[in-house]
Amino acid sequence: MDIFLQVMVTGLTLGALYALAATGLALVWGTLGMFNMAHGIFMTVGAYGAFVAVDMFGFPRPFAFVFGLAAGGIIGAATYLFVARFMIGRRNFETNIIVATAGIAILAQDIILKIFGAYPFSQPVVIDGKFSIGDVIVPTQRVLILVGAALLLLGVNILLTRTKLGRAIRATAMSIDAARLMGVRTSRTYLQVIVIAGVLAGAAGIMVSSLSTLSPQMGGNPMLMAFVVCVVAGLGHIGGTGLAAIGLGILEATIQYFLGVQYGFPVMLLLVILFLIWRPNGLFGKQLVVRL
Amino acid sequence: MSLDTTPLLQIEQAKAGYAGSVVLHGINLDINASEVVALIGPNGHGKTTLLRLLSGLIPLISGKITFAGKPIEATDTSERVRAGLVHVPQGDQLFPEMSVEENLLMGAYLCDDPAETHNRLEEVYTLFPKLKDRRTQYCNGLSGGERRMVGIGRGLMANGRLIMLDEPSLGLAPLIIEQIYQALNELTKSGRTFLVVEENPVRISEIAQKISLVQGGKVHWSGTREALQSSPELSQVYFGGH
Amino acid sequence: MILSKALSRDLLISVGFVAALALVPIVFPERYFVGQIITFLIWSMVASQWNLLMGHAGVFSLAQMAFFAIGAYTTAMASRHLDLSIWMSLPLAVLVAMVSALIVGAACLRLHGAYVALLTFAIAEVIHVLIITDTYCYTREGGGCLQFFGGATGFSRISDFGFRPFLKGDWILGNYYVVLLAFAFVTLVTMFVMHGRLGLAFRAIRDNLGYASSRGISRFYTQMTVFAISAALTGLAGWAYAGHFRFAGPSLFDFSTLILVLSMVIVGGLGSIWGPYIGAATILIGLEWLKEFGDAKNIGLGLILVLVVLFAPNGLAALFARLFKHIRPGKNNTPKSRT
Repeated sequence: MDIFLQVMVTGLTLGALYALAATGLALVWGTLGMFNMAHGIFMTVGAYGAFVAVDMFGFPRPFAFVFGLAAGGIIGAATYLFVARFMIGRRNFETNIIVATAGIAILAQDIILKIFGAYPFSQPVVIDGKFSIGDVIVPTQRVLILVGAALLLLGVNILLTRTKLGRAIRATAMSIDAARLMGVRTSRTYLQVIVIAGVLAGAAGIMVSSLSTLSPQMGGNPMLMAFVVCVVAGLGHIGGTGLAAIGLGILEATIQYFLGVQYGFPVMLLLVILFLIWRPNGLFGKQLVVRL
Repeated sequence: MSLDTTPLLQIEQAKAGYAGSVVLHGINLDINASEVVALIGPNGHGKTTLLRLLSGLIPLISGKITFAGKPIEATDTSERVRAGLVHVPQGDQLFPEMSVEENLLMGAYLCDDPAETHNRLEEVYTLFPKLKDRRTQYCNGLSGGERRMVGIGRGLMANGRLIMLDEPSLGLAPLIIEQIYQALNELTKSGRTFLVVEENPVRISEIAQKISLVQGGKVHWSGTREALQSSPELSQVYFGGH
Repeated sequence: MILSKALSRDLLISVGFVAALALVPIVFPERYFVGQIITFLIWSMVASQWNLLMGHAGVFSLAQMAFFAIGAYTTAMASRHLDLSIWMSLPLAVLVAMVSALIVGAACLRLHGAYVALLTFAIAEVIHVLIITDTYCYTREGGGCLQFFGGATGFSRISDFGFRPFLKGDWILGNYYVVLLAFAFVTLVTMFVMHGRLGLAFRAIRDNLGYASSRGISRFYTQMTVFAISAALTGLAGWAYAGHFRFAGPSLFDFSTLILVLSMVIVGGLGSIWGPYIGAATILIGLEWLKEFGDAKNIGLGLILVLVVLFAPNGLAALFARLFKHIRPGKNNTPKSRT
């Protein structure tokens, strides 16, 4: 029972982080058809944003958290306004945007490295303390992550399904021309989507760094995981993304527990690859393998 | 009174097309307020392209388009919808993973008054009672006729001054076409302005007062339906097969 | 075998290019310069294979650097664990890279577009993470611990091409001609593949899948074949890398290494014939120039990538081709007007 609880606490925390990271990626993919290699750097920027807010400006922690989210949103907006905007609708967009966002990623990562150095600062936006359920000790931060991620994702869900803005986003994702004919300014919708993705990535970045440390390349592995979650769910399937994230988080925690911490991530990736050989469309994806 | 004398939509020498190929070679067309105009003509001669040009989905190469007294060449689709130029595209292009009601609400995207939106929704449900029963259903599970009703209803939700319908009978069974045209008949009597693209000249002449033949990217002939029917040459071409 | 006009033209250019390269160290024997040309040869081999796969066959694979690393690692591991000479590990490196490609391809090539990019990227990362997190000591050399796959530091000072004993100070010339030979082989094979039946098939698939399928071309098998060929040749480049630098390590899997080679392909021009070579040369010269501004390599690469995709999405090769076209019509018209 304790083992189960231990694995669940770790797994759910991981799953919540993956869900945060992957939802933004799926949203951008589903709406703009853009595979965003800079998503990891959005997370890094969010994490450093919160760090700067506390360490340099002396903001209280909740404000610093919001500041980090804003930082993520801003780099998202910049990516769209300075780069992606000019490429949408051009030939080879799908491949060129991967290259362009990869360029942004390495550029921004190097700038962060130049400013902050490679020193592994610890994330100040964190709540210390722990409590125990039975024999299992649960750090408060993990519960905070779980609750924070759940609230943010719930917020995004409400935004997408219950508001006019969300309806316009979904409409644009389903049919750009039809959305335009309804009067939707799709270029603005694109900007909104990528800002939302940036904010979610910023939150994920702050939370990831609160469990380990800050570093210029900290976004790399969570982004990779977000890719994997998206593929397992079926690209662009937002609801499925959350479920796949939780499932994979628990799977990784289980592997960590039984095989050792360092094998959790790679062994899970291996399992995912095997899964995809068997089901190339992912869990919830539709027939997308070969479109004639 | 002076407003009534200028046409609602004026197209002068409009040229447009797709990457590398010009489809419209100088379209001239006027539509007056409260008029129902039909565009007929063979496939691939630019009827749909003209509607896409008018709604701003494709750019104008040269010429002039004036809507409600203002040039609209430089405006984007969203501004044109706001000005009251509404386009119901061919094949409906519904939002498949949205409910019927959400699709209809998307039609009133630019309306910021919830009460007004609600009124329009009720109007559409009165016109197509079937949609009210299906309101929570996803559009990818609807029948062809129901989809068409959602498409037309969604266009009506914008409360436009000119509604452009691209082949409202396309791909439907005769019985369903009957239903759709019954609704269109009702709508056209209400004094709204319509521009309808139709392959079926017999059907369209029931509701349209003015008919324009589009051929080779130009308006080949324009006139009342009586004039069309009384011209032996034209009616041979356009009604001959029916 | 009858050579098509395009093939014989490109083969001729290739042979001329290789011949010119063979003269370089005789004219400019400075070791640093020769070393830089070797680097160019190695990266342009990788870039040409990536271009073949991505630009011509339309497979957006990000695992290409992994196959390069597999070639290098196989060579290093054969040298360290099996005491195999570098010449013996050549076929091994090519074979292991190719077999890995067949396995990865089986997993990825039924997908398309961005899915392929995603999954190949994930697979390359799995290998990377598995290698650097491995802490189990396979051998202990002089008190140090060496993991089977080299762990986080990788293999260094492995056996090289073996020119030092008899060429003495000029050992780099030996390395140069070995790498040039590999380069010539890779380039010629690439030309044959591109202009042959296979090239025709995969371009048909890239441009019009429906038509290609209706003509009986199987997308999966065609792309699988290109995937395996390009991986094998990339593995060969990896072997050359390991032999010249006497090193194979996890830095080969680094995102910045991937970006470095990817930018060569993109800057040169995806889907062109000579783009990868132009791109590799441009980027290496650019990096050399960037050294004056301190450690700005990644910032420079990132900027170059973004700017090229925005302003010259077809790359330098297309730019040159356009310039060339502007010059040529005059030449072509003169004989016509005479007749």
